[in-house]
Amino acid sequence: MKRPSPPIYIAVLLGLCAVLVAWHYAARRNGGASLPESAAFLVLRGVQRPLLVVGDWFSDLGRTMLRRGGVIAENERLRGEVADLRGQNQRLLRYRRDNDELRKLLAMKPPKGGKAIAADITTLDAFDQARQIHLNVGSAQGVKPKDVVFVAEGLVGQVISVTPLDCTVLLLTDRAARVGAVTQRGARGVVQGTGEAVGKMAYLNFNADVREGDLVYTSGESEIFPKGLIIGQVLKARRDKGYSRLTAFIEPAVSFDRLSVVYVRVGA
Amino acid sequence: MQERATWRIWLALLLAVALQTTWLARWRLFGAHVDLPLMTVISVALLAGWEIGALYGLIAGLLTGYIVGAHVGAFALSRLVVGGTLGALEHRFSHDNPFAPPLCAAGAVAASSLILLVMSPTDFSLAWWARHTLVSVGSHALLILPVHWLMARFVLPPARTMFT
Repeated sequence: MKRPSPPIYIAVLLGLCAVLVAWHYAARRNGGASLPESAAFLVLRGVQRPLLVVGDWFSDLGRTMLRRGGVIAENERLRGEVADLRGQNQRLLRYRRDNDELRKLLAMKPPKGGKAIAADITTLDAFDQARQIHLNVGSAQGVKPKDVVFVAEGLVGQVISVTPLDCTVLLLTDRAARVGAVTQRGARGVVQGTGEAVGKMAYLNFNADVREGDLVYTSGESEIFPKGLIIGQVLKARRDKGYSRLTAFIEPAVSFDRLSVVYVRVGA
Repeated sequence: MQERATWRIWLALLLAVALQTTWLARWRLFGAHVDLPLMTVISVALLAGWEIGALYGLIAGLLTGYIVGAHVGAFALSRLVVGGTLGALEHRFSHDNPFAPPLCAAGAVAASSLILLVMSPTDFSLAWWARHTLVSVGSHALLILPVHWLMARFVLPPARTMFT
């Protein structure tokens, strides 16, 4: 095969890159997704679910095998049976966690306005540069950009783009996430994601009464997030006298690593 | 382009991205996610040359950007540069050299991280970026060995060298 001329080949690739990136951002500005992006997620969707199930099965098995080190018995059959039962046990524990989560959701009072629809997470929070997930619900189910995503434990994030079949959710932990918040003692501020497990609450009054362990809720002032959803609790409050600034560090109420099913408030 | 690179590299990319967004997303090594699509870019570039490496890098970068939902251009460009550059260096490394993939992985992770920082300077604090890059360089330099070993078997026909 004839080898391409390097400058022309690189120029073509860079041009293609520029076109696809521009297309992506143009679609994002309208709260949607470009055709290549939608197609990529459509193709991925067919592979992700089986991989997740098989991966979890191997994880359960792997954990079982790792913990089994000291229990090398002489009977091969019994050993296999024990490993198998432990594997089943791990799976049952995982099912129990899912079950508990669903029970809490059933018992939970939904936020005011709109209707809550359940959604599976198809793409997990997989990279460190941004904290986002994808759900298997889209405009066909009435999801729109800015819809609020939550679970029984509290606020998860906000929908930022929607296609007919899925949507992208900006998690509370992302650096770009901002939520108007109020503590249980009435201190008002804005909770910001940091990209790490702990968020921070800024724009607090310097003399506000903020204590370790205080619960933090959505204030309802932003018109996007309904009032009263739990965000997390205060881990530490730091006063910077030089700038008369009070910052609280917030541990989110939601375990983002363990999410499997979430609710989206639509039609609000 | 080299004839040995086949449709299988694209299947490998699909699997890598699917694995990254599902099972691997649950795991962190020293607090950082492992970037499997980037490792396959490094491996494909070393195995298949700069033309395929650059194209593969571009597609892998775009897919990563779509999933991350931000820095799409930075991801696409950084992977394109990594794929093209390592592909161009392919002939400089002996395929039997066990240090080549880790060295290339360390360089590739540092370079792509630097491109991300340069293209989106306000999105990352320097301390976070430095810590994350250092951890990623180490973990990817270690993990590239099994990935490259698998890719050499999956992507290329049976073989004559240590990695193929």
